[in-house]
Parts: sequence; structure tokens; C-alpha cells
Amino acid sequence: MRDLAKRYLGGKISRRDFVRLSTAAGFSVAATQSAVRALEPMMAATSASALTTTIQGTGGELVAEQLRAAGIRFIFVCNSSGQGPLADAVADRSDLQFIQATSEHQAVAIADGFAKATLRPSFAAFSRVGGPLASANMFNSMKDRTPVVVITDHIDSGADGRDGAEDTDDWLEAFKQYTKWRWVTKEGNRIPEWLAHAFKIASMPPCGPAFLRIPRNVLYQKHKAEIFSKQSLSVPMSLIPNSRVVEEAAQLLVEAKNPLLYVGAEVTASGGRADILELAELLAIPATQAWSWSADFPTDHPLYLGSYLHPLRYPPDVDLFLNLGAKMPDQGGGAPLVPRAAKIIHGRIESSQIGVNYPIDVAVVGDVRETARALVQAVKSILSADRLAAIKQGRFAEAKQATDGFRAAYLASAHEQWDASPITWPRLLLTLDEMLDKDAIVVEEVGTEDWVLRSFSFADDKKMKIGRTLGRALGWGLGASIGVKLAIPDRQVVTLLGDGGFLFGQSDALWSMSRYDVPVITVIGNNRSYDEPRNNMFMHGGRAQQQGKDMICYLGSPDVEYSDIARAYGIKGERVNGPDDLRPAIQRAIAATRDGRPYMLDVRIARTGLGADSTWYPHYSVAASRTRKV
Amino acid sequence: MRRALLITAIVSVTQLFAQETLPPGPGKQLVLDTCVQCHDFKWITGQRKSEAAWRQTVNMMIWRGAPLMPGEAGVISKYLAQLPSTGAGRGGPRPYTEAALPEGRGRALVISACVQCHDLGVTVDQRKTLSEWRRSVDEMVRLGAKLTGSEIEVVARYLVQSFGPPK
Repeated sequence: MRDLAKRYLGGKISRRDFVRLSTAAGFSVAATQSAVRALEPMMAATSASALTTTIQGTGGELVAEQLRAAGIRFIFVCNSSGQGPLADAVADRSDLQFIQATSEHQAVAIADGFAKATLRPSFAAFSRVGGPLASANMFNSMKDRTPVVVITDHIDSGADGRDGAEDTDDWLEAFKQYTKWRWVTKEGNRIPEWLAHAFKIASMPPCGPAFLRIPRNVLYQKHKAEIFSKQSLSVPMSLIPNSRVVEEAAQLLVEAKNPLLYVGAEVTASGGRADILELAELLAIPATQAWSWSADFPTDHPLYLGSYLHPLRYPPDVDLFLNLGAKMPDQGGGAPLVPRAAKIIHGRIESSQIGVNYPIDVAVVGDVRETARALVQAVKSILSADRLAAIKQGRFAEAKQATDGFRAAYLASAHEQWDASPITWPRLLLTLDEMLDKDAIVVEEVGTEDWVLRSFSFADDKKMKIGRTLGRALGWGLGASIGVKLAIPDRQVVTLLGDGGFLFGQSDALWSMSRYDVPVITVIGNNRSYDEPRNNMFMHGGRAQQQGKDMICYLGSPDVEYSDIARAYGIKGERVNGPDDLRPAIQRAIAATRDGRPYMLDVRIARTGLGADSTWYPHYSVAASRTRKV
Repeated sequence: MRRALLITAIVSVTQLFAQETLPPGPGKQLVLDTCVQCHDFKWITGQRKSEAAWRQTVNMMIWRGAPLMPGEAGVISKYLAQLPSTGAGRGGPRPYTEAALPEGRGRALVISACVQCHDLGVTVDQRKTLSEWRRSVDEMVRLGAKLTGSEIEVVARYLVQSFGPPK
């Protein structure tokens, strides 16, 4: 109890956690409530004294102090005259660390990876004209609800509204779709207030990017302002779902013959993976994965079916669709992707997204972890232990038979072309799964997510998956892997990209990777093609497909030597030409990263699907079009 | 003459039906269970490949998440290699007989949603109860027919009204 009281007074646990942990430790509810009452005066005194601190300084210093108060250590920054006052402030504050990127979209990618790995807000700062370049990865952050706070400078406060150089009249409108909240802070004494607000908004589920602009003259001027403590920014959002609604949902769950669990990123964002697993195992509910930046259910679990398909082969005749933490399946312009006979329970903290386009039987608003915990308790209160065991036994055995079969078929198909050259994706991924550390982090940005989900064992005590983003805007993975490694330096980090994805401006990230000794293994699956778009386009059977013309997907001319690009940044790497070269190359990459340096593998991969053999592209030579050799 | 034309029409409809639907075989149900979640039905039946080529394609589909069990890749590859040539999936024109559809609420939906994949002859020749038509329409939606939940019911009711069991 003393230790819990100390943690409570120190703001490390909430009042709710104090009560929960005390009772779990064996103290009675009455004793716990008595302790809470005794601690409240001390808590109030502690809070009042620590909520704000008044300081004087430049706008840059106010930003730095507010960052310190918010618990920020890394500032993901790009070169910018407007960030001069922040650079001056950081020069005197050794607890703040600049991590520089050479372009704004990579600064945001690094920040996004850091925030995803820590589930805490990250911070990026760059030039006012860098915003448009950053917007692709801000879009990714927004789609994933990643808590990233971005500041830029802004034209001097006396000069805006003239569509001047480096300016446009309404920057906030430009960022409206990519940010959860945005503001221009023109009063210097309010810089900490709005920056604190940005952190609060960004980190309150559903999270998302917050964007603040500060006029350059305001950043250089001195102001007197109040800095907001970290405690004052805390808005506990572990929202408990309505108990009546939970009971209704639990009743449907126990009555269902063929329930299905569909999980999304809110599971991971809420820290609720173990609780969702407990719920699934309680009733042996097979689980499917929605599009998500994380693996929200253990991928080698006997109940895990893989990505959601409709109709499912197993279980047949789904009669209950339990969606925890994801949007409903997007049917595009077609029919709904949930069987019409199935009842739907949809639980999310992002209440506005519940039941979009689908009729919902039970809507559960709340933190997904808390919802899972409440459902577990409610189910246990409805069914006896014997009845639960009986339900679980039959269903679990069926699910295991199905998932074992799917897994065996995948491995058989992979091994059927195991020695093919160029290397197949399954051989590359399964070999990586075997050779990497058991708890490696895989940052992935490849075209077909199931390749990755089927090949690696992702779970809380195994490997971790970060990416691909829900926004799918390419140019994220390499930068994100830097942020992930910064956040969790003691775990092996590997980033998986296609050559097409890398060519979306990601060589910029190699500069940061090299400068800061970021020991990440970069694996480029190089099939010299945008494989997925070619298949998607050719499947429509249009004129390009009929004529065998791969109009915009072939990348083999020029045939880029990616390890040479890495070498230009001082990063070692190599090309992997055939299956026999793969294991030794991975071993060298592992050794290089253990020595503290990044390493790149350019793995020549087989193209797949429609038009895979084609190397045709619409050639044009500017040189040949000249009339003078100039 | 009228009888001869009728027989010719029925034969044509039957041939079209055979072309536009999957022939029986050990792989038919596998195609319906594991391919149509991601692919247009016509696209699968429109391709001509050897069994070995289909096997490579099926393997790639398994890598991408197709829910096949051990041993089924061979069954489905063999089945797909034996499909008759249809030209489907190549955008060719398709004959159909709108005139065979009586007026009624749902007729336009049938014309817009059904002829994308099969000739209307396979519809007008059948006689089913409401629950049977519902199951058929559900199956068509599963195979890709663009109908919403409420439209499915409208189409099923139109079909039973027009092509219900003999009274």
C-alpha cells in the first residue's frame, strides 16, 4: 500500500489504478477508499504546486521548456531559418536532443515511428514551407491516429495575409484533413499554452497529429509565460463502457454459434492486446485482422485466421461479428462484407466511426482494453465455468484444425518454389523470421501485408510489427524505422520495403540513419516493379493488359543499385542475387548492426502475377529528340 | 418454325449458361470458397493457363492470403486448367434477353446487377420459391453482384413474382 501511495502521489498511477491495484493486492474496498480520502489533501497540494511554472524567455525557449515539461527528449528537426530560436534554446539544454532529417516528410516519418513504438506523443519541427512535403506522412499519421505534434515557423505576424514569399493566406486550411487540430500562435506569452494543448489533443484517443505555427518574429522575441506541467496535460481516457451495453454484448456473444473477432489498431493503441486475447480464448472466438499498423492479435495463435476475407472459409455461417478497435470492413462500392445474418457488436473509443455504413446491433463506446476486460467479466457472470469450458473445447479444436491447415498450405506453397531464382517473397520473409531475434521489430511497408503477417510470429512476447500505415502513402518505412530504433534501442529493428516504396524519396532517411548510428537492417525486396498496382490494373483487362503494355509499373530501367545509394551515405550494404546468397547476407547484416551501424540488403525478388514477365515500358529519350547535341 | 426458334433459343441459353458458370468438378467449390473474395469471377474463368502455370498462380495467391488447405492447390490448379475457353474477363459483348423480364419493381436491378456475369436466360428459365431466390441472390452477391442489402430483397421478391413456382 505504501508503494502504491507513493506512486499515486507521484502521479505515476491514476486514482482508478490505485484503487484497482490496492484491492488486487488484497486490501478491502473500505480500506482502499479510506486511504484515498487520506491521500487527497496531499494530492491536491502536490498538484497545485506543480501545475504551472512561470518563466521568461524567447519564443524558442518557451517551446523548449514546454517540451521538457511534456516529457519530450527527441526533437525531429529539419534545417530551417525559422527554427533558429529553438536551436538557440536547445544549445543550452542537453536533455533535449535534435535528430535531424534532410527533408520534412522523413522528419514526420521518424516522429511517427517513434510515437507508434512508444504509444506516446512525439515532436517534429521544421520550416514553414516544409509543410506540403511533410503532408504525405502527416496524412499517414492522421489515418493511423498517431500522436505527432508538429510545429513550423510562420511569416512574421505583421506580414501575413499578403500571399507573400514563402507564404500562403490560409495554412491551416491546407492542413485541415491531415491534422486533428491546428493553430497559429501569434501571442508569445501563449506559446506554452497552445503547445501544451497540441500535446493534449494529439495524445487523447483517438489520437492524431496536431499542428502549430508560430510567427518567426514571435519566436525570436522575449515573453513571460506559464509552462504547463506534464500532469496538467494528462487526460485519462481509459473510458469504461456502459455496463448495460456490455451485458447486452456479452449475451450475444454467449448465444452465438459461430462468432468472429475482427481486431484493429485501437487494440494496440489501448495497450489491450493481452485482454483481447483473453476474451478470444475464453470463448475460443476465431480472430481476423483488420487493416492496421500493428499486429493486434498473435499471428501464430491457433485462433488467428489472418486478414479478414468475405466470405470466410472458416468459420462457416458467421452469426456474430465482434469488431474491437477497427473501422467496419470497407466494401468499396459493393455489397457489405459482413454476412447479412450476422449480428454486429462494434466497440471503439472513436465513437464517430462506429457502424459507419453498417447496421449495428450493439455499439460499445469505450477504451477497447476496458471493453475487453468488461466483456470477459460479463461472460463469466453469465456462463458457468463448466459451460465455458465446453464451448471453448469444441470451438478451439475446430479453429486449430483450420488455422493449422492454412499454415501448412502456406508453408507447402512457399517450399514448392523455395529454390526459385529470383528469390520469392515467402523465402525471404520466412528466412528473416528464422534468423532475426525472437523479439525483433519489423517495420514494414510492402505491398501485400499478408506476406508479412503469415511469415512472422508477432505477439507481445515475440516479434513486433509496426506498419504498414493505413494511409498507404509510400515514403514512410525507412524514416519510421529510425524513430522505432530511437524509441526501443535494445531490440533488433528491421525495415522491409519494396524498391518502389524506397524510390518514394526514402534515400533521404539514410542520411539520418548514418549520422546517428542507427543500427537498423534495411531490406529492399527489389523486383524492379510496382507489383501490386500492375496486378490491380491488369485485372481489369483494359487496353494496356490486352496489349501487354506495362505502362507505369516497370522499374528495371534504370536498374538501380540500391547498395550503392547506401554506400554514398556511408552505409554498408550488398545485393543478394539468388537464394543461396540470402542467409550469409542476412548474417552479415546482423553482425553489422550488432557493431552499431545500419546495413542494407538489396534482395532481388521475383515479380508475381499478371504481366510479371514483362520488361516493356513506354520509352522516351529526350536526347534523341534533340536537333542539336547540347 | 416458332418451335424450332424456341428450341434454338433454349440451346443457346443453355450453352451460355454452361460457358458463364463453373462446370462441375472437384475444384469448383474451392474456387467459390477461396478465390472470389478478392477476384472478379469472370477474371478467373477468362484466363487460359496450363496446370503448371495455374499452380504457380495458386501458390502466389496462398502467399497473399488465399485460405487453402494442404493438397488443395493441386486440385484447384487442375480444375482451372480444364475450364473451357469463355473469353470472359476480356470485355467482350454479352447477349441477353431483357425482353424476357416482365415489368415490376426490381426489374432494373436485375438488368444492372445480373447481366454483368451471366445471360438472363439462366434466370428466366428457373422457378423458385422466395427463400430459394433469396439464397440464389445472396450467392450472386457473394460472387460479386453489386446489390445492397435492401436491393437483395427487392430483387428476390421480383424474381419470385416473375419466376416463382408453378401455381
